[in-house]
Amino acid sequence: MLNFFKKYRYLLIEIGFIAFISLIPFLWFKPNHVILGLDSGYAVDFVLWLKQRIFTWLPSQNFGIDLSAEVGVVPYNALPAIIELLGVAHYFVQRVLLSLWFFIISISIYALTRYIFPKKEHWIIRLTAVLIYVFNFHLYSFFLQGEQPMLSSYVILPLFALLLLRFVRGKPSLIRTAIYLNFVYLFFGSGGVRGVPLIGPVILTSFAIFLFFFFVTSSKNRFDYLRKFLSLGICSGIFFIFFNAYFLFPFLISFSLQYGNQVAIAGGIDGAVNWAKFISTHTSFINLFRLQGDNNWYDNPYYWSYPYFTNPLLIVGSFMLPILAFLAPVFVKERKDKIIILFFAFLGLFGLFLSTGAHPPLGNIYVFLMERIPGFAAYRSGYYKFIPAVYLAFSILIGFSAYSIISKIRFKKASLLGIIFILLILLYHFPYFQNTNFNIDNPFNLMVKVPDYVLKFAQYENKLPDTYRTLVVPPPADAYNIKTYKWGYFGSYPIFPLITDRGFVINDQFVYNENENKLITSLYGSLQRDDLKSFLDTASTTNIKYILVTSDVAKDYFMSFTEDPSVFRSIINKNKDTFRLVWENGPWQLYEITSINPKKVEAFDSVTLSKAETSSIDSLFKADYIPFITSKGLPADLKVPIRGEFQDFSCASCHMLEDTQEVGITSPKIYPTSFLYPLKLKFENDLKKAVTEDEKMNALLGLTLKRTAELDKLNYVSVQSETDWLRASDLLYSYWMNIKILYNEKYKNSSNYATLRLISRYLTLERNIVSNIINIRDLKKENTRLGKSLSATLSEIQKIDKSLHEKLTETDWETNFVYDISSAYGQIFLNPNSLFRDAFNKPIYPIAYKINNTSYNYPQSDNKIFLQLPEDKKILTLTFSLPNLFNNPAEKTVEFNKETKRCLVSPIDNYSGMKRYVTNAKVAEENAGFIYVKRDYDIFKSQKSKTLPADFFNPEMEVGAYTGGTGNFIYQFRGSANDRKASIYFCTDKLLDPNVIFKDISVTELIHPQVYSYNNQSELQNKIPEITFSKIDPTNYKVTVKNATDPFILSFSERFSPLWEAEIGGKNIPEHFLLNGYANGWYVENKGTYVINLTFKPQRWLQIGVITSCFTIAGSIIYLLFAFFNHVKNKNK
Amino acid sequence: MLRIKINKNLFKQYRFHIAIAIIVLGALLLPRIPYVSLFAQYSIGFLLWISVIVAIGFKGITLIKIGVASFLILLLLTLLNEENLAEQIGNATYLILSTGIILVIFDTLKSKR
Repeated sequence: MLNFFKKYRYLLIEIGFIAFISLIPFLWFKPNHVILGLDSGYAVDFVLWLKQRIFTWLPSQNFGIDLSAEVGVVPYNALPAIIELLGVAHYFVQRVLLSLWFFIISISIYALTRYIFPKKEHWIIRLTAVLIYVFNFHLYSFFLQGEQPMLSSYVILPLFALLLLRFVRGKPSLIRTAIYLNFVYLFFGSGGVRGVPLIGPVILTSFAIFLFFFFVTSSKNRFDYLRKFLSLGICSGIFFIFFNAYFLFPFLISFSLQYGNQVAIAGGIDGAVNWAKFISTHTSFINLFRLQGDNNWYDNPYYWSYPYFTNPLLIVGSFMLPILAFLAPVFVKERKDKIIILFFAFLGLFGLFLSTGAHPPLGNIYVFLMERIPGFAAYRSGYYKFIPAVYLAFSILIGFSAYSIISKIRFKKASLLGIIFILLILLYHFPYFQNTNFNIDNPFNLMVKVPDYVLKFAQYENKLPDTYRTLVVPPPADAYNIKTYKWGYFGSYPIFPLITDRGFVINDQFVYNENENKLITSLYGSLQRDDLKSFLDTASTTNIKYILVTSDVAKDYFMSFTEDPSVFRSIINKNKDTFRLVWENGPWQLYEITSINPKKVEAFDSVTLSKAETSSIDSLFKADYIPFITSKGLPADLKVPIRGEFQDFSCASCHMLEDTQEVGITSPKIYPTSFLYPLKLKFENDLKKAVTEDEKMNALLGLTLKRTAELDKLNYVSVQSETDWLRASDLLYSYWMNIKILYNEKYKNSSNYATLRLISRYLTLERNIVSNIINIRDLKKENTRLGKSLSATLSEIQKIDKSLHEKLTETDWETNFVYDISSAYGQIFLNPNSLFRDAFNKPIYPIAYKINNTSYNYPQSDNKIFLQLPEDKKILTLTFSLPNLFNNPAEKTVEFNKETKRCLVSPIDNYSGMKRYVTNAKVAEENAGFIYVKRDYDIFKSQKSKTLPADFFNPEMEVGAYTGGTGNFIYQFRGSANDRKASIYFCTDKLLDPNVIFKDISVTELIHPQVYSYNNQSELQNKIPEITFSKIDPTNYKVTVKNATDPFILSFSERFSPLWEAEIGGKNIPEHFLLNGYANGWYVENKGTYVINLTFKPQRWLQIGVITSCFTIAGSIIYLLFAFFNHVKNKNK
Repeated sequence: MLRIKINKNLFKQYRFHIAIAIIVLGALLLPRIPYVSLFAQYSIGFLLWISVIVAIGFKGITLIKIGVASFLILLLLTLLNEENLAEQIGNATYLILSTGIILVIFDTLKSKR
């Protein structure tokens, strides 16, 4: 034993040192605090969280979430649960866990360095490499969140490098290397499919090793090298499938569904590119060389990183990192070391290039890769994903330089210099020794003390039946919002799945689903309006039995506006017959909705067929229409009995109220004077591809814009060859002629306002440009062919403009709404939720309506429009009389920053920050006035918002009274969710009189009335069977059907997924469809008494995958043991 | 048969001028060529730079030393808050260092053979 210690004493000392520094995470925690929120992924109840995650379906979040792609993360969720189950006290679990990760990361880089530099005197290289690798600010930011998949990516990186370098050097064998690589991936794969972006540096390093040593290998051996690596790739790939079957199988089964979702969440490639640009704001080479560039560091004086920009010593320290790293190739002398050092320098530079992401000057290449290489968009955060490779390279290079420098200094106690160097590294990374860096924006913190009432609520909730859902109020104002609580929680993830496994519904868009989001908004909206009937109908259909009021939300915090809890509390308290208080502690109250008894599994005889857009979904949640199916994506041969048809009609004229997007021209790359111009024209085939009228019109407008952009150059250059330009001009003329024909035939008398407005925008821009060319060049006088051609074009544009202007100004679009109802039958309705509401919260119905050209008076207080529609019905026009919200204006003198103005001021009646408004006025003198909207709102005091004054005149909306020569000023605006009230100011210079400048001022709410029709069809007499069900686990329900005599519809209120299957005696029910906009429905024709098995398919594949993985792991261990004993046996021989 | 003899010494003598001519020509021509992919632009740009370096006769290790020395200039600029200039020189440093490393790698490979 003593000999062992003697023999390995240096190794043990080094590992002992690593173990000692691994205790650093213990310094970070305050008593009774845990890491929670932002992207940490930690639960409050580790065990319960793990129990939810061993299934591929998570029912506790909104209407259920498919976790088939998340199975790879389960081992990381298991770690804290296992530590707790081993008897570690709850508040110590994360300390132990982070220490463990600290140690494993350090040991992994230590193993690599020891392999490359094994000599005793190389200790300074080994320990420096460990310290630079583990004390790094990229890793630190993930340590602060305890983000285990990222921590594990720091383990896998050096281990992969080690195994591949060993393989390059000829040992061990191919099969064993493949098995080792897969074992490393199995334990530290960063979370399976979700972890793929995190192992970017591993892919990069592996590729760099392959490439570098390919060139290093002598040319005659290169083919062997290629063959060897290719074999390793194939062999590892095969092992990979079997080792990781546990997450691969369920993922593959749901791949097509997952992919669409993920792309939608990321906002498509464009969204990913924009994100990449944002993340790369500070990733210049100068920052990256110094191992900086994290977007969170900058413009934030409260952040722990701030001293690194201001303290000269730390700035000098930061430059020492690249200096030492790139001195390594200068110092290296021995050939063997030289190859390794050059490899890491190469890796460092390669990693730096990718870490810059979309930052100039090479950012365009990165964007190009994102756009062109399938899957590369997953690396949209270049800095976060690739910088670990730079750290790996720098740690080895700096270690080597430190060793070289210390060896060169003629000092007897070289070890002392080494120790001083190590201390300097630790000193430079001083934030690692602080416990105050979890702060996000005080009081919001990643390290929080979870209040007692939250923990007690979880205990209570866990005892309630797990087949109901609880609605959380107040909702975050925006589904994408951060959720914040006054006690410090700050996370994009809702807190509820972290504390309990019961179902919660909250306005949160964890998985993108437009229908579901509308449905949740509708739930909140009906409760907020005190429209109890609509609320109960929707709650009943969505299986909501409880309401939790959380009054501790940070309502007015600028990053997470939340609706006012008192509004919901007062409505709930007003309706005591419906809502019964069942639990209360501190600011949280739980109410039971007593008047409904929702059922997770239910039977119906027939459905409503909805041909509606998503925007009408709240109209559908009425007892009369439930359950409903949507015609979009419905199987063609579906036999489900239809009891009525629902259809909505889009408001054609509402396009006139949308904010306009300006059309602009960009400089073309090829001008008519270029010899490539005919080629350019040849490739313009949008018009040939166009099928519909709108596509043709769009293509024509696009072509006119291209020609106009080319001709615009005539404003700046002299014409050398008129013939070249004439070609573009003649083409422009012919396009506008075609537009005129198409316009007269198809658009002039249509209600296609979207396209009409588009034509108007193109037309205005191009008319101005063409007219400018004619005037500036004086082409009329010159009487050239080009001048004639352009004048003819201008004349055609003006003709269309005249007709279009008449059409677009024929009525007041804020009070008149046009719908194409030619396909309607049955009765026509107005959705009252889409109308203006007066001070008493009553909807204002139209005063009149018109079908085709016949006018009718509207029956007041009725949302039905017409009982029997005429046969030739085509166009419906609704006319409203909306109140002017600009009442009793007072004249005031207002002091602005540097000037005094006279203003007409009025509060906006019944204002809400969530609504859109439009203001109109007649202006006597162009540009003589200014209009301001002053919003009054509360601000939640946080570290960042403290600097803003709470009450100030800050007209964030300011616009000049520009009318474009018409004399009529129009301006649309919208406030913010935390606004309490707002006033509008019509101001002039103090020498002018606003009463003279502004006349007929009005402010009206912009509404978008929803019109729909319902046609009641035959009443069915089908008998519905008696149904009971039991939940086996979140992915398996047993439904017992008793005495079914007729076919029926089975509804199951978990989010629809084609992977949910219903089986009777092992046979699938084929007719599976989306029910009620979110749930699963099946059409069941079997008669008698039987059991239906509802199962989520990926769970079965998870089980098969787990068994496959276990067998592969066991087989691999046996193979390795066999190989080991063989090796020992051969050695002894 | 016409044979053109290239005087190697003459080439060596004027390599600096030739390199500059290539880089100037490239800079003038590249943006004029429409629809040249970014890859091509950057690759040609990098090749031009390398050809200049090789033509001038810089050794990889000298370039690395220049790169390391430029970190001291960068440090000074950062301390003086000259961020924009520092960023530009930082980009140049990356180019110098990567060229240096590539040349050293090639030198090492050559010496091996």
